[in-house]
Formats: sequence, C-alpha cells, structure tokens
Amino acid sequence: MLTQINCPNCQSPIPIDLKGLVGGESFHCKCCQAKLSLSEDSTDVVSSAVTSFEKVAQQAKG
Amino acid sequence: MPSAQPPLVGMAEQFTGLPMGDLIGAPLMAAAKANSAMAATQTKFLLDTCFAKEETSDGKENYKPVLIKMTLTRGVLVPVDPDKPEQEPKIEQVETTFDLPLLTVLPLNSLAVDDVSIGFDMEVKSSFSESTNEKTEEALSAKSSFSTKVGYGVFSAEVTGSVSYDSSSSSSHDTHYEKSNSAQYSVKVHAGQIQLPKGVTTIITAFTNSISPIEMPTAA
Repeated sequence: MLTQINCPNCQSPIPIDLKGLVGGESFHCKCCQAKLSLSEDSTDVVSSAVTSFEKVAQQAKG
Repeated sequence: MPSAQPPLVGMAEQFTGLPMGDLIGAPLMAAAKANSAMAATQTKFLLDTCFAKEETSDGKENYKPVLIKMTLTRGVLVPVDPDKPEQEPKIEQVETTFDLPLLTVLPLNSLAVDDVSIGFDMEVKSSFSESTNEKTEEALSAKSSFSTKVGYGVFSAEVTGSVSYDSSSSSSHDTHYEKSNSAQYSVKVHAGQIQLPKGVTTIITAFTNSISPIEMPTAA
C-alpha cells in the first residue's frame, strides 16, 4: 500500500510503502537524504489501521 | 427516375426515440452512487480509526486525531569546536522524533471510482435502390413458295417462285435509381476522480507543516 509523506526537512515527497513502514523499513528522502521510519511505539497502531483500511478497500472493490 | 419512391427513414426520429437518459445516465449514476457509498465508508473509517472519540466535560463529543511517532534521521552540519572557526565543520546524524497524525499516512483518496468512461455510438443507415430492366423483342418471319406446271401440247413450262420476309426489332430500357442517407451519433461521458475535499487537504497540510523539525538553541 503506497502513500507519501512530505519530508519534514525539505518538504519533498517521500514515497512510503505502509507495510514496509510497519515492518520496520526506513525510507530516504531523495532530495536531502533524510531517513524516515516508524517508531516502535506506534507499530501496533499503524498495523491495525492498515488492516482496517485494507478491509474497507476490499469492501469498496467487491 | 421512377416517379414514386419509398421515403428514407427520418434520422432525427431514430435518435429521438432512444432512451438516452438510461443509456448514458444509468451507468454514470451507478458510479456516482458507488462513489457516494465509498465516501461514507471512508468518513466512518476516518472517524473510527484515525480519531479517538472523547467526551468533554459538557457532554459533547470531541474527536482527537490519533498520533503516531515517526523518527527522522538527518545530517546536520556542526562545527567541531565553536572556539576554533578554522576547523572544518562535520556532518552529524541527528535523530528527531515527531508526532504525525495517522490520517496523513493513509492513502484515503484511493477509495474512490477513479475513472468512468461511457461510450455510446449509434449509426443509422437508410438506402433505397430500384432497378428496372425492360426488353422487347419482336421477330417476324414469313416464307412462301409456289410451283406450278403449265402444259399445253408439246409446250410445257414450269414456274417456281418463292417469297420470303424477315423482320426483327428489339428495344431495351434500363433504369437504376439509388438513394441513401446515414447519420452517426456519438456520446462520450467522462468522470474523473475528484481531489480530496478542501477541508481535509487543509487539515493534512496543517499537520504536515507542523512536523518540521525545530532547532533547539544551544546553551551559551
């Protein structure tokens, strides 16, 4: 599931795979090389939200 | 050209009778309804997942955005020793933790009908063709012959004769008449994905702007 967050450092968009983010992956800003990752404290919240979102998306398709 | 030909079909009549509302409007309405249902689902998901509901002291419901913690690691140029300006500065990796609303990381606008295209082509053709072929042939033939003998004493004579008559006449008449007309009616309806509502975009922008790292002044 792809999304994007604007880099807090230079405002360039950073493409992010939400499942990768939940899995502990880091994403680099192509402009300023800043590294963005999810803090371990929030892994459960995002993981739960991604699962719910996938269910909603599946309902919308079906 | 023959005097009376059947009339060609009226093109306007053919198109007037079509249920254009059903043909074009129905699929578009179905897509709009689907989009509306998805928008309602999206709103419910947004309120249930991305916001935490809490009651205020006066009994009102208050939605507070669910925040997630993100870590940003970036290189910051720092002087090696502030007292020695001649020294080359070095890049130090600085880790910043910031709160980000969960709402901003979910691809909410993906829950929508992104493209509806209805193409309707109709072609009406009408043609009339007439072919007449007339041929008259007449032949007349007559043949007659006769033979007679006349004799008297030593004299005798024979007379023969024939008469013939041949006559023929023909006439041909060819007529070809053709007329045609055709019309084409083409309708294309395109509905694209609309952007997120301005209010949602404003909230996301406000949240996004608030996550810029702030440099803490160093203690003197």
